[in-house]
Amino acid sequence: MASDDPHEDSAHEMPKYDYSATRRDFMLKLGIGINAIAGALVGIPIIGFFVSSIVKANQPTWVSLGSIDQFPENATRMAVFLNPYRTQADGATANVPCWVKRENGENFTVFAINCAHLGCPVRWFEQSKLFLCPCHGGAYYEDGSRAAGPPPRGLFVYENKVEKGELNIKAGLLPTLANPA
Amino acid sequence: MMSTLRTVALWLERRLHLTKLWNQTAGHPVPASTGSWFYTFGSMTLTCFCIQILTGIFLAMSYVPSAAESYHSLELLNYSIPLGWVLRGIHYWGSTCMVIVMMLHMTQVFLWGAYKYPRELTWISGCILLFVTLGLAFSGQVMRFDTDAYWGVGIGASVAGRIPIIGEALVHILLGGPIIGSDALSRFFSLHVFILPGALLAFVSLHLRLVLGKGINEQPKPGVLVKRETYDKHYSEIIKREGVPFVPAAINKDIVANGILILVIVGLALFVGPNGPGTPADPTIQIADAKPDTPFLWLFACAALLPNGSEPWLFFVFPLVASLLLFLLPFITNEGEKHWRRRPVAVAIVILSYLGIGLLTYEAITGPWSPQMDAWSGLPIKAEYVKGRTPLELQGAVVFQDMQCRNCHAIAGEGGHRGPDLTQVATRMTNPQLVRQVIQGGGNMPAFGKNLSPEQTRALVAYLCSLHPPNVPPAREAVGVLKPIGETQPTPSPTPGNVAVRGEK
Amino acid sequence: MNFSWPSILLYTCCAGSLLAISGCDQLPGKPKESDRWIAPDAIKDFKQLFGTNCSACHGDDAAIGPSLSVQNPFYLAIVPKDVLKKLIAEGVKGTAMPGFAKANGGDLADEQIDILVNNLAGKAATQQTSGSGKTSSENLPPYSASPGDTDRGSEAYNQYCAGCHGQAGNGGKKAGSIVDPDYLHLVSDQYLRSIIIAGRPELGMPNYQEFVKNHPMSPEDIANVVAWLASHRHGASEANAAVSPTATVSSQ
Repeated sequence: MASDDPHEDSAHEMPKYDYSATRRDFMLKLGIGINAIAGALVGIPIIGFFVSSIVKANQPTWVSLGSIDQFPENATRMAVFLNPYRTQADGATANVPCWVKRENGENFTVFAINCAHLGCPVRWFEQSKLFLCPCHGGAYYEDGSRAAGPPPRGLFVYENKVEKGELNIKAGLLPTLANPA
Repeated sequence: MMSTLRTVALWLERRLHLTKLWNQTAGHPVPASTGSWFYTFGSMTLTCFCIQILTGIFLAMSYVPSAAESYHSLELLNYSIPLGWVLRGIHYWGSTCMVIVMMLHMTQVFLWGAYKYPRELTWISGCILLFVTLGLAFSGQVMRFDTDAYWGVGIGASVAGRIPIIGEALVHILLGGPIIGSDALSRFFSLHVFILPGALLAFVSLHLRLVLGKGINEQPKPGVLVKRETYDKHYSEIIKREGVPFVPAAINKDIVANGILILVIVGLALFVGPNGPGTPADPTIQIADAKPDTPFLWLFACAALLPNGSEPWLFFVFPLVASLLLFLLPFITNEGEKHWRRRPVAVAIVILSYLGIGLLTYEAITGPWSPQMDAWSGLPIKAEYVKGRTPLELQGAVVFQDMQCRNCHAIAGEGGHRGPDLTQVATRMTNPQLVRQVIQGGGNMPAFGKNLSPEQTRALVAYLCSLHPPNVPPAREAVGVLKPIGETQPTPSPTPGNVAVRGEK
Repeated sequence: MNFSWPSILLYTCCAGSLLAISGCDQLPGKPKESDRWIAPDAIKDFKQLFGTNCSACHGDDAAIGPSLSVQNPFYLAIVPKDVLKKLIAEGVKGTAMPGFAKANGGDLADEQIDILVNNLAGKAATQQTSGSGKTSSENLPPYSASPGDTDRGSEAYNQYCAGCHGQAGNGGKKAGSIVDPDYLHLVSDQYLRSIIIAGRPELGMPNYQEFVKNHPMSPEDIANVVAWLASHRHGASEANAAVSPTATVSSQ
């Protein structure tokens, strides 16, 4: 089996090939050179395109969550903003939810919806004043600090500021441990 | 007529050398003993792959890989396009079966020692096929762009984000942008329909080339050892002694097994149906749970069950070491015994792996660590745990529901299973112990002290103290009024509800 | 037997394609319209809405809720529609009843609250026409009333309630303490009033007409008993707070 040559039957006898012929040798090297350049010219744009998402690396920008009047004091409510870097094809995924806690006046804390464990969406429970994660049961207190379960830290917090009666947060990236909002 | 056919056949044969091709492939000699049911899993995996390609091509005619459109196109397939749901069903169950028979194939190869000399590369290419197939299963789940897919990608990004230094760059490459959206879906689409199937075809070719080149592994006999110096001769002797052409002499059981497999897949598609799509991938919709598809449930369970801080081990060290061991296996045990009866360690590894993955998958299906998000408002308490209670205890039951205790604690088996079932909690804990647990938390339970008024706490604990079977008294404080030894009268139990938290608040 | 393989194959193929064209849509694997995802805001089914949002505390057809059953015919007969709507939307401050309207941090759209209210009110109407007339609204005491007189409440309590809840309200053979300050702290006066009128038949507590045979409580009696109960709250009367609250512990 192992010695079987698949081309055995069609293999024709060849005259001995002279590998030292300089003209052929030059053409071979030229061919390799041209194709190396051509390969690079094709490859660089492809690789560049593929990694462009790192190179261009959108930075978080200020996004408005709307008037501060919609958030009652001492309460935590969901707010939804449009991803500043959305495209037309994003559909509903351009909506990004977050939890807005209005302490008093213009003091806000805005938590990312993503659990610090594996990014699942945490849900706020007004009565027990806990955020619970549906995936692995991570729990956080009202102030975002870890209460129980596997999360390694508290909830991710967006930087926020109030301008002209509107609440703004610095957002646009998926909060993960590598990039905690 | 016959002579014309003969002429055409001969003409083709002269140009295509079909007989030669046939003898080298379908008709290649195999040991007669390999015509066994245990040798059918490889061809079954290949059959699954063919089904996947076939159904995949036609599904791609209707599927739109755009975050805005994909869910709608899946609904069209399910409800509007005739037989669209059947194709989706076959594709889904084909994928599930492919992973299962591939696991069986791998187990058989491992137990039969087929990875040993000279078939190391066959094993390694098989391992690559395993990872490519798992990649296809995961990216396929993403195609079903629902909440499971969306948050599955989110979990993938979170895992990538934990890798030191390159974490952020990896997240960006994975998502094709800063956030999960259409770019992410398109990347997974490319992966699912071009890159991975292409890779699979390439490696299947290599795998089959190696199977043909090195011959199929003979049925091992206990005591017959593989030696690098003598094996090739040994194998060609086996072929000389009992070699038969694979087609038609050894393929009969493969045909039967594959026929049954296809019937099973189509049957599952017709009678169980396709999977989902579930809730659309809209992150603003509050979801009750997000779970990956079956092949990944065991990993998902690990993430929940392992202690805090073990994630780097689970997500990097373990996969790295495991795949390294897998790839290096033929070099770790290259020679020696092939038969499983003489390889207790191999058998133990198989049993432990199956038990481990099986148990973890079961855990993940029941998902005891996930709170039941709607239990607090939507799950009534069984009548026997409500009847016969005082007004205070009833109000405590209201507090129990209202404070979302039920999301993590079951009563009579109903409710979340994140925390202990409280059906008989009064037999385990006394009133002061319950008060302490509720207020301070601990043992993976949040502290409720800040959010409960003393009245709520007392009502709640009064209710919990009523949770014991009629014939079993509630637990008593071990340290009560100390009595001199010899006095047999038991310490009277403190009246529940009265030993309250006044001091602690 | 006269089978030949080609003919078997032919028949199987024919049967298979016929099945594929005609029969497939009746197979159990076909996704059903009812399995189709509905946006949470678009759920219009009363049973589903009540089941996921109310049943945990207020019970349903099969289960007993720890709190007042909103399916109780007397309660449904006396509660005005707009009050019910307000209760569901805003909740009751100081009690466990949360607000379910989105504006109050809940999950229900206004339209869904209307569905809950209308269906509950509809239940009351059918009960009134089909029932024995006991819950006909003309004969019933009003849903709410200003607090009555504490001392006369004590008398009325002894007449109507003491049989089960004990002489001082500290619990008797049939029912537990009703003057526990913790209990009273957690419930509103209106809740006490509603329970006195509607009873908790599912737990064995009769309604206001049945405490004493053929002698329903008068609206004044009800208001007075509520006032007397309220006087046992924390701060209202320190003397009562020290009394042992639970004379009967649950165990049957």
